[in-house]
Amino acid sequence: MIVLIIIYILLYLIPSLKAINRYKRQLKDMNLKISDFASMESDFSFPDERERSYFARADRELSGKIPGVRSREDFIALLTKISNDIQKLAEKDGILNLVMKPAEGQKSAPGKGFPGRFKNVKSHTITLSFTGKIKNALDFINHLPWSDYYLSEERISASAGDLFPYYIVLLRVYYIDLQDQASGVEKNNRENQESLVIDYESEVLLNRIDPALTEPFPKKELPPGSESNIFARRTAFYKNSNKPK
Amino acid sequence: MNKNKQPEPPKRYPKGLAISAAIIVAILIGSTVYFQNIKGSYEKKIENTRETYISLSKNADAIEETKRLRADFYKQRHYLDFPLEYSFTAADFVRELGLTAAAAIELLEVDIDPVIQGLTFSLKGQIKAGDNIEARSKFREFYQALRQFENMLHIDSSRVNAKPGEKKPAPGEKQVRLYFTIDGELETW
Repeated sequence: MIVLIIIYILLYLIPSLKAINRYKRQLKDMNLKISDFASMESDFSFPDERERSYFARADRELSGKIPGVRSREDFIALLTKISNDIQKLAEKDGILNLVMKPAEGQKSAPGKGFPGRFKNVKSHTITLSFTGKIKNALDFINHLPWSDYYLSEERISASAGDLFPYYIVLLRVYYIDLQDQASGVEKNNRENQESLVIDYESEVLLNRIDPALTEPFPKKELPPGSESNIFARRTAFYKNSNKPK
Repeated sequence: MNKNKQPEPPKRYPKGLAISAAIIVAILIGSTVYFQNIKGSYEKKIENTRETYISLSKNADAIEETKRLRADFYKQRHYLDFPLEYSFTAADFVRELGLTAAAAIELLEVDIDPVIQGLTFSLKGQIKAGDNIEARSKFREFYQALRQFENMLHIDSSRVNAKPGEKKPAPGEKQVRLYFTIDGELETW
């Protein structure tokens, strides 16, 4: 009899209790999902035509700014175009001694954070060093990314110079590597997804996009500033034995 | 004939045992029925809930797709606007430094780096003054003015170091140089 009871417990009772617990958990999970869905659906606004046009426009604008590069020649042509444009801009803004060169030790790196559709976006960093009056230099820095291609400024440094302050701007040039895209290499895609964190549970994503947010950042000129040089003269600075550490 | 031979006692069937066995079997059968009922009722509930879930989740794919499109839109706008916002804010910050800094303040180095929706800066400079108190008071004034910048998120000056000049100052030359480093973060305009 005892054996019978043990067999019953082992073969029926324990599995039954486990199954009941599993059902309970399953039911609880499903009820939670249902309540989540219900609350999300009640708050959710499906996109209308206007919102769809916002999606299309932003997509078009960004893809129009990131050029495709198929070969080394294409890449050199892109850098030459950017370099010529920057030279012209520098002349217009009264910049002195502009030197452009690839950032030291920099190779093309994956352009992080772009939406998944923009596959194989890469970037190449170039260094701009220049001098000039503060007003001219600041205008030049402000004008730099206003272009047809996608540039972003990284570090901007200004330091004491001989006559005028000395500036270094790291400029990142973005392009789509069409060669990698054709060969199906998408090794940077994971990094793309990871670098700019989006909270997909955010309530912002439940509502239609506010039209005010679709307006591009307006091109603004700097207001007038102080003409005086706030930077120390490099000569005075380096002659001083009490240099800051 | 052995008259003393006692009749064999009747075989003692374990009557009690049989009753116990019957009770136990009844309990086992009862508990089996009971647990089967519970399982059955849970299965029924799960089936009903699943139907509700499936009918509700018909829109789930469309909702998730729309959320993805909206997230992509915000990312794209960020990538389109941030370079302009960053360069304008960085240039405007240096311009405002020029307006804020008093004549005695000389900047040695300004480093600005982008962060998401803003920028961080590191400012190194020196203040020439007649004495330590004057130098620190000028630094305090400058630091407080920077704190008032509308888009300043936080600001910190961990290193402020005043040193007397090593040589005897020429007539009219300030005796103390105060070196400072200010770090902070600004929101883009």
